[in-house]
Order: sequence, then C-alpha cells, then structure tokens
Amino acid sequence: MKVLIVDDESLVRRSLMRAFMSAGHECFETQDGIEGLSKWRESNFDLIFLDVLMPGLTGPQVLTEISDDKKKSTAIILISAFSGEHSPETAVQMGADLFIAKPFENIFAIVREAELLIKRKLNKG
Amino acid sequence: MGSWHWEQSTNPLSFLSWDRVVLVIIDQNWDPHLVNLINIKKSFPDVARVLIGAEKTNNFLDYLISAVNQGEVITWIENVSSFENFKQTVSQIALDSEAEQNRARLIRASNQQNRELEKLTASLEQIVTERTFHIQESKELEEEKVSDLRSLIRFIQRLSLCISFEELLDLLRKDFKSFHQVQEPILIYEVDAKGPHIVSWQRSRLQTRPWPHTMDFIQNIHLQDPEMSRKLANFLSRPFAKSLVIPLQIPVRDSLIDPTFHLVLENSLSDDELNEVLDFCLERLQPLATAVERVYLENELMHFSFRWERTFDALKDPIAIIDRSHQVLRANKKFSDHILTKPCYESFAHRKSECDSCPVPNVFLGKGSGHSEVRVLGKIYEVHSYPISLVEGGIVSNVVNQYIDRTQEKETYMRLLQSEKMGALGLLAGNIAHELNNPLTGLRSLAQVLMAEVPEKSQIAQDLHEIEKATKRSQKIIRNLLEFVQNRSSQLEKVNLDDLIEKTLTFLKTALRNHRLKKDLNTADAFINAEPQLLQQVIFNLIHNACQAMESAGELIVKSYVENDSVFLVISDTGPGVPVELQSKIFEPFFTTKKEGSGTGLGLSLSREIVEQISGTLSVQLSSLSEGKSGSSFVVKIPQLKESSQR
Repeated sequence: MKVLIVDDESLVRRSLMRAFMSAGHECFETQDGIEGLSKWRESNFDLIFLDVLMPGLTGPQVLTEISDDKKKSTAIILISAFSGEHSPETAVQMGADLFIAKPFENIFAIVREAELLIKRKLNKG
Repeated sequence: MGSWHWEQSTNPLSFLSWDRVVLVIIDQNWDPHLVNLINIKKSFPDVARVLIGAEKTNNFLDYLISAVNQGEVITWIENVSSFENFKQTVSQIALDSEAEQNRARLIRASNQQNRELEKLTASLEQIVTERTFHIQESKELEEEKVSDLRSLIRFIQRLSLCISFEELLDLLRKDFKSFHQVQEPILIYEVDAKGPHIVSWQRSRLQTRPWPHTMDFIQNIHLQDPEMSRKLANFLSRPFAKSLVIPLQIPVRDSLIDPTFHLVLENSLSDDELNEVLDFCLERLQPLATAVERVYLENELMHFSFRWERTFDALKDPIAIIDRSHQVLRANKKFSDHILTKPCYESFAHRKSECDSCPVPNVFLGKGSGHSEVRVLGKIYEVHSYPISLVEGGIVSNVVNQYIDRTQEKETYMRLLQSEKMGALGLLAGNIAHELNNPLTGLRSLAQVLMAEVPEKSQIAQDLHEIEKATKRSQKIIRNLLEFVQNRSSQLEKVNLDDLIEKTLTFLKTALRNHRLKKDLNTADAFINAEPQLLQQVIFNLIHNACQAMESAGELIVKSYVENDSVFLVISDTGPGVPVELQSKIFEPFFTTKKEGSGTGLGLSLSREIVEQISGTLSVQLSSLSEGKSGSSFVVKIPQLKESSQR
C-alpha cells in the first residue's frame, strides 16, 4: 500500500516509515499540512497519517481542503498529541476514519490496525 | 457818749417814747405809789430806774424796798448838795447802768445764742441720729438685698449643675423652704409624643409618672387654679391646697413637639403673702426657664448621642478615630469592646509598632484620604483613612480609620488568581507536555521498530529495550504532569492514596534531592473517594513545605496506613517544628512566616479545605521525640471508601 505520513515531528515520521516499510508498504512523508495537502492531491494514497497540530495547515484543515473523492478513496488516520481536544467522535466528524492518540504504545499494533482499516474501507489487501 | 441831755418832766412817759432814755429818776413825792415806776418798768424795761430821796424821810425805807421789789430800781441817790454833784452821781449811775444794761444785753444775747446753739446742736444731733438710723436701715436693707441676691446666685449656680428635671425640682424645693406656706413644688412637662409627665414627691421620693390630662400651655401665672388642684388631688390621692401654676416659657424650636413646662406650687398663702412668693418666683423664672431648656436639650442631645452611639456601634465595619500618635480617641464596638488606652496598631492589629503599609501617616501629611491593606490575625482588612480637621481649613487633627474586612474577598480573589495561574500553568504544562510527547512517541516507536530488526537476545536488543522503557517512563511523567495541572471539572473518584503519593513524588525529585526520603506506604488495598488532582495538590504542598522547613539536609518520612476505617497519611520532617501556639494559626488563610510578597499563604488553608471537603482532617503535631528526632508531622486522615459504596 501507499502510505503518506504528514507530521512535523521527524522521529514520528521516521518510526512510522520504518514500521510500514518493514511491513512491505510504500511510504512517503511530509512535515507540514500544506505539503501534505498538495502531495495528497498529486497522488493517490491508500493511507494517510495526519497529525492534528502542524505548522501551515492543521490536520483538520487539510481534511476540509481535500476533495471528498480523495477522502473516500483514502484511509485517514488522525494522530494527535493533544488528547483532550479530539476524540474518536470528533475525528470522524471531521472526516477521518480513525483517531490514534500519541504516545503510541506499540508501533506494530498501529501498523496492523492501519492494514485492517485499509482493507475495510477500500476493500483491498 | 456825748453829753447827757437832761429833762425834767411831770410826764416822763412821753419823753420815754420819743427818745432813748437811759435813766429816769423817780421822786417819792412825784410817784408815791410807784405807779409811774411800774408803768415805766413795764413799758420801758431797758431804762434804768433810780430813786431819789432822803433816808430820813418817812417811809423812805419802805418806799425804797417796794420800789426795789416792784419797780426794780437799781439804786437810790440822796438829795445832793449841788447840782454838779448830782449830775456827776447820776452820770456815774447812768454809765454804770448802761454798762450794766449792755452787759445784761450781751448776756441775754449770748444766752439767746447759746440757746440757739443748743437748739442747733440738738437738731443736728437729731439729724445725725436720724441719718444713722437711716443708714443702718439702708444697710440692713442692703444686706437683705445682698443676701437675697446671694441666694438667687446660689440658686442659679445650682441650676446649672442640674442634669435632669428631677434635680431641678429638688433644687426648687430647697429654695422654697423659707416659705412655710408653700409645699413641695411639682413639675408637669411635655417634651415628646409620649405625652405629659408629672414629677412630684411620693413618700419623700421623687417620681416621674405620666400625667393623664392634657396640659395646654398657659400664658400667664395662674394665682389660683382650682381645676389644677382638683386634678392633682385626684392624681396624688390626697387633698390638695391651692395651686399656683407658673408656666416656664422656653423658646419654640424646630422639634416635633413644642415642649411645655409648668411649675405647680401647692400653697396656703394669703393674698398678702402671695406677693412675696410671686416676687421670689419671678426673680427665678428666667434662670429656671433657661435651665429647663438646657436640661431638655441635653436630654435630647443624649438621646441623639445615644442613637448616634448605637448607629456607630451597629456599623458592620470597625471604625476608629485616632490622633497623630495612633492613639485611639473614639471607636465603635466592632473595633473594640474594651476601654481604649492603646494605639490602634496595638489594640486592633496586635503589633508593637505601626503596621507595614499604614495609610495614616500620609493622611496626616495632608495628602488626603488613603487606603491600604493590613493583615491582622489571619484577616485582611482594607483600611481607609480619612482626614478630620477640627479647625476651619486647618491642618489635619485626626484621622478616621475604617477597616473593611476583605478576608473573604481576598481569599476568593487569591484562589481565583491561583486557579487562573494554575489554569495558565496547566495550559503551559499541557503545551510542553504535548511538545514532549511528539519526540517521545517517535523515540519509543523507533526503538520498537529497531528491536524488531535486531536479534532478539542481542545486546542491541536489550539496549533498545532500555531505551524504550525510558521513553515509557518519560511519557508517564508527562501524563502525570498533565493530570496534575489540568483544570478538569471536579469529580470525585475512587482513588488509591499510595498511587497518588507516588505520582506526586515524581514531581518532587528536585525538592527532595537534598533530603533523605523514607517511604512507608501501606494503603495499597484501600481506596478513598477524592478528586485525585486536588488531593495530589495537598500531598505536593505538604511534602514541599516539609522540604522547605528543613534548611539543612534532613529526613522526610512519608507514611501511609489504614486504621479504623480511615486512611492516614503522615508527612514528617526534621525541621524546627511548628510551635504549639502557632499550630492552629498556620491553617488560617494568609498566614505565612515568609516575608510579605513571597507565597500566598494559602497553601495550608486550601489543603485543609480540600481534605475537609472529603470528610477528612488535616492536622499538625510536633514529631515525637521518642524516635530521637524532632520536627513537624502533618497528618491527613481520610475516611476509607468501603467496597460496597459506589464509584
């Protein structure tokens, strides 16, 4: 699968990339919302990790900017360090499919959850 | 003298009436029966009468004697030989006689003068006597007047000392004592809406009672008032003699009711005696009226003063009037119940000298009114000082201090501030925590990824495992911090005390680094119902205080245990300990031994409140010396949450 990781923290990007790559997926990364948005528009991804608080555009803002088509054709996981502001419900309201709070307990578990999500949403894999 | 003129006549009387005759010689033959002689004596007593005759003639002696007796002849001459001799003799006699007559005249005149002198003297003496008598009389009159005046003056002096209507009446009675026909005076007055009152003697005691009749003000003195006598007889239940009613006129003032005063003199005076009494009264009327007015006004004033005092005392704020040296001149009850002899900083603020931020000196310097905050016994007062100048446009002579109790407001404000600060802190902490979360997440996840890529039992795998554990710990700390500072809505939860203690201790590593920490936690299986956040604050506060109390490296014991359905937390330090007299004070809001400015002094009072809100207690005691250490022990006792109760 093609995975896009949009997060301003390099270690988060790196660890996610490594984890997904070792699971055999194609990974791309950007470090802010604007880049992420344009990259998402350019290509088709199966999965996108969107950090909430980022410079430029925030995760939710990206979601409002992106077309509905893209939203339907991509599994969207919202990740956030600020557990208070967002919850699974609000994430779904904004158009995401899943909400995972930082810190991640187990990176591999996340990979597995993501795979399951892709399968469910896009009937792939 | 001139020459004599001689005349001879048979009718000498005619001569005598013409001219001044000195001497007449009478011949026995011419006047044998002395008729002429006697006539001459009668008519012209000043003319000397001389007899001429011969001794040897018959009856001459008898004639002579008769002449002497009846006619008062002065001498007789004999017939003489020659006319010349006759003339000489007669001249001599005339001369003598004249001299004699002169002498007699002189004597008479002198006697007359003497008599007149005597009369004059007598009359003068009379005058002197009269005058003396008059003077005496006047003197007595004067003395009497003086005495009357003195007694009037005394009366007036005593009047000025009277402070009640009863005293006035008593004085009047003493004054009227000299009039036996006048009985004890009675006073009927009306000064307020309560109606007229009568002051009279009942069984040798002065009594003031309500007077059941209306008392219209009479314009003039009623010499006889049978109506009044009747009313008084009725009222006093005894026969009443005549009534002399005297209105005491006081000027009408701006009051709700025109005060009237009537003096009633019971008397059995006759009409003549009445005048004397009336005069006596009239002299005293004006001063009496003045005194009555004064007493009335003083009483009014006292009432006003009383009402003012009451109002002053009822004011909810303590108020004191002080002078330059902070001496309290007047104060209301809220300021002090006792007599004030001490300066305001002593009696109110319990200090030895002026309070730190006293606004009074500036007011005395003429800078107008001012205010500032003063702390007194755990209460905070906003002191407003206002200048008083007793002299028109003069310097400030006194200051009025109004102490507004702002303790509650201050506490609320400080708490709000604290809470705001905490909120802000929370926000800040939250931000930092999240900032930290990001790299930590990355760290942990990357460590996990790496572990999957290296041989399981290898050194690298173990190292990575340690790294992961460290990041996990860090995340926990951050979580704790977020929990601690977040302003979550207050919710009671089932929590474990030991848990909270451990969590809190993680924040105190810095404070504890100089001291030895001894943990003795035994409530792992017990639960309490509390807001974890708040209780953590309490634990934090107590431990932090303990650390601060120990200036040099000491020992901190944190002990928890369950006893009799309560969970106990004891925090002991090896600091100086809290002296017994301060042990209750330290929980008062704003109590702090630190200098004003550092620390809010709310820590312990808040802590106690938090604990008490969950039905617990927070107390302090001196550590037991049996363990060989001294210091303070703070004990928190919280009721245990029984398993059967709900979350």
